[in-house]
Amino acid sequence: MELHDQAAAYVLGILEGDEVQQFEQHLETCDTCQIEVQQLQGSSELLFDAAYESPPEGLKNRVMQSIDSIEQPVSLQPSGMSRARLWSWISAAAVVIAVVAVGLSGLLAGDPVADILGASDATPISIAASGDDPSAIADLVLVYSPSLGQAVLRGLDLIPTADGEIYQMWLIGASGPVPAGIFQPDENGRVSVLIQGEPAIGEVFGITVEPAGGSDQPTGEVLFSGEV
Amino acid sequence: MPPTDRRESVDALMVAVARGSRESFSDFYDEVAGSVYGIIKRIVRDPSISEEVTHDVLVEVWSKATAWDRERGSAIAWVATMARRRAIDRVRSEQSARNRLEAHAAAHSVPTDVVSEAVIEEEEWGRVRSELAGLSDVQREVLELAYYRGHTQQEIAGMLEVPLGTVKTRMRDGMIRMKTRMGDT
Repeated sequence: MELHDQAAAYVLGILEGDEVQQFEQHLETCDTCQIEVQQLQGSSELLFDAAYESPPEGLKNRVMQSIDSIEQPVSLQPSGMSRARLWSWISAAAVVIAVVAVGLSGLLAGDPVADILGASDATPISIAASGDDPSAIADLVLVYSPSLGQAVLRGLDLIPTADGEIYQMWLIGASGPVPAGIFQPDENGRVSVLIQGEPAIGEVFGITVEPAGGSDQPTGEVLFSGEV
Repeated sequence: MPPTDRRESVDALMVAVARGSRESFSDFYDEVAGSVYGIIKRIVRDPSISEEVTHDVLVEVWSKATAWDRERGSAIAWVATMARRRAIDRVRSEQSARNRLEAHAAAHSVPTDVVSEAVIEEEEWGRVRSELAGLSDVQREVLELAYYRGHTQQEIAGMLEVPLGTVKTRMRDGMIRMKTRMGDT
């Protein structure tokens, strides 16, 4: 199947089944098609607008009633998404993280985690492995809302600590490290936890492994860190 | 509102919808319901079935909002694709039910009043035609068949008895021409 000439059909949204995925895979590596898609984008919206008809009376009420009983199911990212893409996606659309995280933590609006993730000024800060420990592999992001003065650590693929140990978070400012909470990832290596204390711009956020119960001062190596 | 601004404002609403805002969904409904209904009606034709399918699509938008991926296209494009797919599925299942009925009737020699393929009335297309003004007849034809009638490119090539490549070229040229005319380049 010739893929180069599928750009128009892709933008129109008329490809069926596997064709969409095939073209998207092709698109990732084909500059010509990327430009082509960009040029064509917007034309399908014109066709959409042109189709306008007054919707039937009462339909809106019925739709609104139907969604009343439906809580949005929340899922993690589709498994097909590449790491790099997931990361750029996280940075580009912190708002969507909010939705994912609400589900992850199983909490509804009114919860501090959900409030932070849903804040209009929620900013993702990347948290990278900082030591030499090869087991320190995870996708971590700190979502910080300056207006709320609070932050949430979110992540995937975090390896559980050994028995009797726990991950501890630290906010490291001019006066040294201050404990910011302890946590364990869930059985799937996911984490979504509220940072204790108020992070300040310029402070460093770090994660160490500590004896169960946590420590007053870090005793382990800083495995992950990032600047607020 | 210029097309690009509108596209972005609907995208912004969709982000809020994905966060669970029912209020934003109400605004989102006002932005898209008319076109969603219009697209579905052009494919399904029957107004009450179209209304039912429109209801189902919009509820699906709400429940799948978190799956919308901005990188892959605008919220409008996403919703339009969902609408078209649901409408086509509905037509196909009605069609197969009708085929079974007809086969049954033929087997029992009962005369049937077969519903003929309704021709889209000129007035129904009036609005569409004005938006598509400026396209050549052959460009408009392929875009109507593909976007508003839900035919695949292969089907269109067969219907018009032209090579597949010709269908693709006409479609692409038509889309470029439309965008140029709207000054949205």
